[in-house]
Amino acid sequence: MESFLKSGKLGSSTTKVDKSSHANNETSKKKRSVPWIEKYRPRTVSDIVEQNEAVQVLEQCIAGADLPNLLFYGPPGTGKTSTVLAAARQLFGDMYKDRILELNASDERGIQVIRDKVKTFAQLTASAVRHDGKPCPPFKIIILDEADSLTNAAQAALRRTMEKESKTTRFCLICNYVSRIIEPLTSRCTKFQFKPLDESKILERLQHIAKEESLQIDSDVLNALVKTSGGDMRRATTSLQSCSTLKGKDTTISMQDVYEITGVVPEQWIKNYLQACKSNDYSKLEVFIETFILEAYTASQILKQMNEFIVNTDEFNDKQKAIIGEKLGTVSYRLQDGGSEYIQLLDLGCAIMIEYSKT
Amino acid sequence: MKRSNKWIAFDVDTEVAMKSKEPAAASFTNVDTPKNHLRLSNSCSSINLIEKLKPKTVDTLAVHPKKVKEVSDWLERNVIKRQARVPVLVLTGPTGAGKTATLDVVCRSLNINVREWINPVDKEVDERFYQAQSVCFLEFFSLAKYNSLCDQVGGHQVALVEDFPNFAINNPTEFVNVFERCLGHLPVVFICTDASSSKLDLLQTLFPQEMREKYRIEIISFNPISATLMKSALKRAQSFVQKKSDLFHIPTAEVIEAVVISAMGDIRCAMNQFAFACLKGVGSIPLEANTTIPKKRKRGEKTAIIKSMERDETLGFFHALGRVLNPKRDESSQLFKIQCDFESLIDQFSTQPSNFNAFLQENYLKYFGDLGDVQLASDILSSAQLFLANWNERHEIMLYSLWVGVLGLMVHNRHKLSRWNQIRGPTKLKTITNTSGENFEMGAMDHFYYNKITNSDKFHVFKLRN
Amino acid sequence: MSLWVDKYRPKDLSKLDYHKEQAENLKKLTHKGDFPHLLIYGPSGAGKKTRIMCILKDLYGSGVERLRMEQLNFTTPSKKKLEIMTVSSNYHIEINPSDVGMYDRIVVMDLIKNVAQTQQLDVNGQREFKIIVLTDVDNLTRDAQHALRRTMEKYIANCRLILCANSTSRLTPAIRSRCLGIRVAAPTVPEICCILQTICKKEGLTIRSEFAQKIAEKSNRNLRRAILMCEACKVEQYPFAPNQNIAEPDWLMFIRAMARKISHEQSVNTLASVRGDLYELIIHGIPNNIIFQTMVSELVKNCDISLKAEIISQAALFEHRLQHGNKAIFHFEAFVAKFMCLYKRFLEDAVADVF
Repeated sequence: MESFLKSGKLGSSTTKVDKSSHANNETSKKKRSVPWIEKYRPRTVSDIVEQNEAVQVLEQCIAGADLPNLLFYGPPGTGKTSTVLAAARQLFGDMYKDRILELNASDERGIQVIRDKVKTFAQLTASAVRHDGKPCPPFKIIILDEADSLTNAAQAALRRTMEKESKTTRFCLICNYVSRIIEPLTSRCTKFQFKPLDESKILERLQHIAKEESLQIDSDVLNALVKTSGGDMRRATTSLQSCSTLKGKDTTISMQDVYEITGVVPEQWIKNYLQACKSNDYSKLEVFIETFILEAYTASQILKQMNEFIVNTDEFNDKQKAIIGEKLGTVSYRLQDGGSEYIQLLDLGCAIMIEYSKT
Repeated sequence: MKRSNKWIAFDVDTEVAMKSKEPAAASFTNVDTPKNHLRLSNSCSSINLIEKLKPKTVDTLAVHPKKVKEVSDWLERNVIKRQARVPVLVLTGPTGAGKTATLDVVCRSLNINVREWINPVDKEVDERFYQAQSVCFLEFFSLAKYNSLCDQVGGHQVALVEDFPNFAINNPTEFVNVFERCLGHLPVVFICTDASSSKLDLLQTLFPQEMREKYRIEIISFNPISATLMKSALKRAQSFVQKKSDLFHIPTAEVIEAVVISAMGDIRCAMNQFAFACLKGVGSIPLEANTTIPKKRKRGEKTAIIKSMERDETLGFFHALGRVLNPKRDESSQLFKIQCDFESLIDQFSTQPSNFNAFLQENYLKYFGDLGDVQLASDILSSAQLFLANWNERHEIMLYSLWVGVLGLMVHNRHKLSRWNQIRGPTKLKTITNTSGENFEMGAMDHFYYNKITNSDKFHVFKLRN
Repeated sequence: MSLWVDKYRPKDLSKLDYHKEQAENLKKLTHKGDFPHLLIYGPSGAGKKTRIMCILKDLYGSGVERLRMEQLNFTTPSKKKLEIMTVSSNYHIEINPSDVGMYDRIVVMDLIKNVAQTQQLDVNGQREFKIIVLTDVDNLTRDAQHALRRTMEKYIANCRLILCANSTSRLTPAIRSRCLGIRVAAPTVPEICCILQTICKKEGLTIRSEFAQKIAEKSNRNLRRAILMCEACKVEQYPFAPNQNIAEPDWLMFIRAMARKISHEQSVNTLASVRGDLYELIIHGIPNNIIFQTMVSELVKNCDISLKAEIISQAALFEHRLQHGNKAIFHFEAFVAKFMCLYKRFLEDAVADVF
């Protein structure tokens, strides 16, 4: 119990892991919403789907009861955090909560965090014996999530700490883009690339969750969920949970619900958009965009889906695709940056229209 | 000539300043001047002309009559009637606002003698009798109350400090001490010129608020000379010059106009320029100088005056705006060369790029004569604004914004309209929000219907104009 | 007196007029133990606020209808005082953080912290959390959005957020993924007609379906505006005449007139007068993107397709810039100047082609 209280200083998500581990024992009377993403996190390194290379190396490390400094990079939802948490669990057993410090870099960025939190935690000593007398590795792990959003100064400050505390502390940097980590840091870590998950693997996992939660869901609806996730396990899981929250346990989750929750724009709208562009009639395009916005669909989402279409279509040659692709990029950036959906979508529509008229 | 003699006597110049130190010698020069004067005006008219152009009576002052009245009231109350125990007056205002001239002219009209303190310079310092400047300063005050021999008998005295002693500037606290000790001898007038840097702002450093209250110091602040007043002063000067057309070239109305504009309210600068313009046609000046006068190159001449007679090196905010909005080009060469030291201009406003750009935006339209130019310029301003919005924590990028804005406007103004426009401050775009309480959910876009349904005009109505 | 818009606002999830299936789902949601953070998005006049109030009522009962307006004060680290109007009941508080502009982060953080730290006083209340309604979240700064996502997780035990936005494009994926998104599409024209007729019936008025249709079309599927239009028409003339004039908002006409002025004469003087018009619009609270949008769609009307494309791409550029900083007028003016140049050239070319 003592260790449970101490966990207050840990990152929030680890606290949740703790709850989830007890979730099965808890009665339904006290229904705390536990994100499924925490509830169904893999427990051991071997549970990790895909990522063979990383898993192999880590398993060897765990067998030898040591870890190098790690740098995990890859797209979101590919199991980076899960991997390191699972490894820690295997290394330290029950007391793994004491031995890790998880920092979400984009929340508390800046050099001060590195100086205060990381250094103080790194300077704590770790004994080689567990509370119950069993031996355990004499070090702690500091997990820096989203390390690519650390400022350069903070990263530089980390460099020194990493070396100085190497006896008692291992670092695990997790990021989406390795290029944003400064060279001196990457050279101090063992790098692992995480690839987007295979759709079949995600499907497997979702089916498992659906069974555990006793959801009523068809396999093709699950398939649709997997498709919209784009190899992101977290997104697939959260979407599934949202569906079930909204619909309740006793009704079937339909395809419609999946689209609604994930915000995917139905195929028909994409077709209409292109149709409007093809017609070379500006007023049609204008009307389409007005209705699209009135229906409250998300413009950034349609851009994503358009991108997929443009890349795969035969209607344009490569040069035209490049021109449209550039426009897509610009428009998408402006939208994210606060531009109006109406004007930005019109802009894209006009660009496509011009390309259509050339063919 | 008699008048002029009188004027010289009251002139506050180095020459006269010595008078207060050595009254006898000063009076001697005084007497002597008329002859010198005549001789000088025959050989070289310049010095003479500027002297002659100085105002001699209250009517000829270019200062606003209200200010003159204020000064003369004070003098009457405190110097002639001696109402206040320790009368102290501070005159403030920008350079060339006519502070000294007003005091001189008014004193003369009231028959008051002015004793001015001038920092002793180049005095042969005898090590043994070395006196601290502050002691000299005190001495000046105690001696000043005695009439000098050459003054009119029974005249009142007033001490004038325009040339602040060095110790006052270096050590304001010491000045306060000395100031207290020299009070009561005489009514004192201090003249503080406005300065751009706070360190040189004598009014604030030497006469802080508590001190002003303690000694009931009165402050009369002068404004820059308005364009109309300056113009009439120049007209007077012109008519004076016309009488001596054998000696002077008579400047055209355009030149006078240019002088008024370029002087920016500085009468001294305007008079100097005027005198300079008068000289141009004189035979003693090489002939090519004459060729700059013909009507066709009027504009070039105008810029020449403005260039050569810059008011001072620290630009006023509005002056700088004017430079950017009304860029001077080197028209002689085909190259697009801007005649402006924009680096220093930008340096000076580097602390307020956002404000400067806002001013530029508010005013630039009036200076542009071509839509294409405006389009380029507005695009530039929009980009400059983008810099300011996105990187407002990084100073160097804010500077780039200033660079882009300033240079962009200057370069793109190819068809400029050269006319006098009043500079306006940026429009305050504070959204008028409805926080009255009721109709919290009523957006601005629904106000129209609210007005209509309730038959009221509680909210703003957009009226169509044609 | 209360306007029809407020008088006939549905107060209960089961009484909503459209999106009935969604209402059903929301009802289920409120009865379950774990109520997630919600993100309600849709165009204006689609009924987002109505739905939020219904959800609140379903959660807490009629107590949420006892609203009070309050002014909250915040202080920034730089000691600047911020004031913001809030509407609150015992169970919830509603604010629009974008009212304080760039300081929204402080307001959001402080408010959530305060609310989360005060426990629910009403012991009998069936909920262990309070609700914070944030409106206009698509105008939140990046900073505030980052702050929000951390606070959302931290204080989930004591408070839930309901975010209300016009579109989700501007929200970071991190926020979107932490909320249950509820899309509220604008009601269709027949739905609006139906609602108008119901309201008129309750008021004891008769409205012909053609006229209701006309209003619905004019309203651009904005229910709120449709009801306001209808009431305004009634004030103007009753019984309704089939060809009765349906007044459009004055600002809309104003922007149109401005656009006409631009198309009519392209000169520096016009630009200067357009600037005055823009100032007037901005000062009286017409949102920038509405001004821009209306202006663009009005301006392109007389252009051919290639010019349209060019103008739209310029519009997209300047509209994006408009979102940065607080000096929208710079970008408005640049766009208008750009349009004038393009349009002038277009007209000149057209004239040249004729001869």
